[in-house]
Amino acid sequence: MKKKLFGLVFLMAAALAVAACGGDDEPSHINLVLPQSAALGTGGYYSIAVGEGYFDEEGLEVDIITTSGGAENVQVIISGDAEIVINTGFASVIGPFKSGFPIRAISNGDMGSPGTFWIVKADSDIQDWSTDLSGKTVAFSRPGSGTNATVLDMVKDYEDRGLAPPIPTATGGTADTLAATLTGQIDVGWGFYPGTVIEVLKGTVRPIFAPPDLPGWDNLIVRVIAANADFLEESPEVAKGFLRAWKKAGDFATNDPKAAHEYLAEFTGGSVPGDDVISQFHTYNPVAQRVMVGPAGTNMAKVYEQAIAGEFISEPLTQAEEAEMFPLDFLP
Amino acid sequence: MTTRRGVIVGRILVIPLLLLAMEGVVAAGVFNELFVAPPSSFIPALGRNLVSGDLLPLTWITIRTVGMATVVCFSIGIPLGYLFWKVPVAQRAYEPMLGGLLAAPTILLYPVFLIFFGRTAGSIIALTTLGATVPVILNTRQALADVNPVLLRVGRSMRLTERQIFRHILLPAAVPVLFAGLRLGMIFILLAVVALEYIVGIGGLGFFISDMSFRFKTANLFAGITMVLILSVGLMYVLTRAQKAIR
Repeated sequence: MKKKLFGLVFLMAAALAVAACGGDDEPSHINLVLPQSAALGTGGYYSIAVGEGYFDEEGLEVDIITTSGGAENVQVIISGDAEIVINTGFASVIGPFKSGFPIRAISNGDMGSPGTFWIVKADSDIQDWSTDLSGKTVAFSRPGSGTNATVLDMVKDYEDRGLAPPIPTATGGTADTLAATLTGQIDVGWGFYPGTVIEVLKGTVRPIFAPPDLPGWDNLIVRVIAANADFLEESPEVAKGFLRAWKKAGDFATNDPKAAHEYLAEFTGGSVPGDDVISQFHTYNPVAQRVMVGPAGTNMAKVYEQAIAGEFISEPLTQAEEAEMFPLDFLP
Repeated sequence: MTTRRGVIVGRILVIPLLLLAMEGVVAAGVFNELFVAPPSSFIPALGRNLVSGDLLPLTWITIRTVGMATVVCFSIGIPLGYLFWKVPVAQRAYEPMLGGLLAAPTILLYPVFLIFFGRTAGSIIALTTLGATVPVILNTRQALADVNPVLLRVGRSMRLTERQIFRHILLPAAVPVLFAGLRLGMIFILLAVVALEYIVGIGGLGFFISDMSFRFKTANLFAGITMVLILSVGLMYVLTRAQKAIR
């Protein structure tokens, strides 16, 4: 009896000891916001990072929350329901930061927004974006998004030339926007690589404009990777590990676009696009535009101009504010 | 204090008391001021936006949309309710389906309505009418069915025409239940209009609230919500006065 009791106590103690040891190796959990998750740079990279084990290497367990973009992303972050957001419009971070909300940019998402472009129905009479859009409804996803910044810049371009400007119209995600474009609810929709490129090749829509058509966009941080400030303070190493994993996912896609598309297809439940789409990967995802950097040396004047035009701030941030808003401590 | 005076005093006092409580709760840190604007912040924001901002024109858009939806809803709902009362077979055939429609989240059909009516107030009016007409139909039929048949026999014995019976007997007797249905319909209309304006973003108070929410302008956001509350109270007051006038 005594022997059995001793054995039972020993087993329980051993189990507790194993459990205590296991606690140190448990992965750190992150809720990640993925706007426009069918894009290669969001859902695709996530799938790559999971499939290639990049998150595991950094001791991360990452769950995703999908949104329609812009300020909708940031709402999830500042409410504390998620820790990190990928590729959210810069203005949607600057504005809340200035108002005191707990959000920080930790890396640029993309420079110049090469992967997004604007489309019209194939039979539309709109041909030239620089002259034919006066009074036309032009889509963007949500206030504060990269697409919002682009359309506001387009409006400014028209006004500077003395033309009646286009009418910015919030349409949400790409599926809603494509439906709105094809059914005539709006005159000009927007899309991204690869999903909308597939529609272009099918002939249902026609591209008419891309952000690089606007002046000053090649050195412009359009979207950023942002995080909840409290999370950054509590778990800086987790944030650094995430960015390292995300960079590896981007490098993987650059080196093997076909495999990257296979991962994206697995994520979306769709099929891998043909070589005619994949061959355009580097056009829409130039390596130079995907480096992870901070604001130094980039066109921050234009960023603030756009944030002011979007009524997110009333004046540019000071240098000290910019440094606080965009800490460089987490860049890989 | 008389009951009526007590009611008036109670009504006047409740709003400042609620506002004071809200101010205190935020000042005490129970809610973060970034997420919940205190009255000392959103009441001035309401004033600023009414005087120099877009709030007044956007409120007018909502009032106009609600008004048009109300006219369409009542124009369809009241006659259909009368028909169901006059033709019991129709009532037995369709009322269960209408009851089901009342519980259905018809507002989720907005993408379909956007395709047919475009990104215009027309899609909002059509969709809100679909949902709001149901309580109007059901309550109109019930209101007429609840009229004491003795009153109708008295009217016929006095050789009143059908029109006179409707105007002087049926309608006044049916008013309480009828207006309960109209109130329900109007509540649904206001909720649906503001919600669709929020989702679709084509103007109105819903758009204002959505825009301020996306720009993290909490004081303005609460100012917009306050305006919706004021509008709601105003609409109910108009309906109550109309009910009293008809009786």
